[in-house]
Amino acid sequence: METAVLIAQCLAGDQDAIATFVEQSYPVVFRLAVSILDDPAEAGEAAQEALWAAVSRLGQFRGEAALTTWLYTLTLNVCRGRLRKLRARQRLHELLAGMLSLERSAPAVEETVIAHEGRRKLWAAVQALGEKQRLPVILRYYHNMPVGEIAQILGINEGTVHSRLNTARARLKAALTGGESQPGGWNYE
Amino acid sequence: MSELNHEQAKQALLREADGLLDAEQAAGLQRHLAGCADCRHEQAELRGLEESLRETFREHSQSRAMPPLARGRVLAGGAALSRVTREQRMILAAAMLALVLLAWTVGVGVWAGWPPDQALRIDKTRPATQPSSVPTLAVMAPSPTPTFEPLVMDGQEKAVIMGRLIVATPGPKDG
Ligand SMILES: [Zn+2]
Repeated sequence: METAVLIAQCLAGDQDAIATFVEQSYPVVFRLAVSILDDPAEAGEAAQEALWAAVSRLGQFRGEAALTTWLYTLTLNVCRGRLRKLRARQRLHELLAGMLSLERSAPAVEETVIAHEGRRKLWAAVQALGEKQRLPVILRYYHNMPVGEIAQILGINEGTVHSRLNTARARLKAALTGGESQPGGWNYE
Repeated sequence: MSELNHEQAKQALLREADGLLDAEQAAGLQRHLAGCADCRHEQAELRGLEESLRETFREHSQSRAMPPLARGRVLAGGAALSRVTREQRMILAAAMLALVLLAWTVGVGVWAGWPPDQALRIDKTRPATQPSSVPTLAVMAPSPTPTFEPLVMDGQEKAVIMGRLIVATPGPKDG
């Protein structure tokens, strides 16, 4: 079904159309959420929260941007809020661990699911980037988005996206090549 | 049209990676690359990094299964409800963690049979039939070299652990 027709039906209160919209959008929205939040359960909830926001604000969708761009913007905002909460929880945990002089927690999930050593190292380097650099990298290389669309979603101009990507690429390169040798590890040439 | 110098070519490589070169600029870059091994090396490195990023993200994406959609919840505006229940679950989980840590630290301390002058005071001379005499909170460090100084003040049991004062609710006073 064509997007404009589907949206019009949703706005008219057609429950089947809304269900179709939600079902069609969920995988797209989930994929963005999990690329940012890493945890599938958290991402599933974020995706559903973003879809709920989308359904309740469909009347505000003007069609200037593509529907996916609009959905991505909503999802990104939900994810940013959840990231802040996750970080606060992490800080609390570290504080508790420090007080009780416990060992550091086990390696994070992402360090154990990516099998290839070089890619694991790259994933860790991406996670270590600040949010300003990390989000453009994820949108560009995880989701293959053009710089113009990234600019639209992040609400910054193309030149800023480009310069943040440049900073990120330089840091990733340094993280991979700097320091000690990497036995069996990554050769990115 | 003037040819790109080395530095301009490196900038152009980055712009090319982000799809920001027009046809003329792309042609200029190609002319520079044809005569510059250094920039060709730079380009190969950049493309390698980009390909590695895509592979890494592909692997990540494949390792993250999508949970089923709770369609009714989304349609019923249940996302807000879901937020609340998740918050509640997190608080519960944090409380459970704290309890487990507490039980573990106490367990380790008691099991190790620490001398009372090193451990937070738990009066073992009281009959076991008086459970109320057991402090409701006791914190012990699991390390063999305790980092706290036990105190008994004002009928309350206190310990300084890493500079923080931990107060245990005392049982009834011995007669
Ligand atoms: Zn050159």
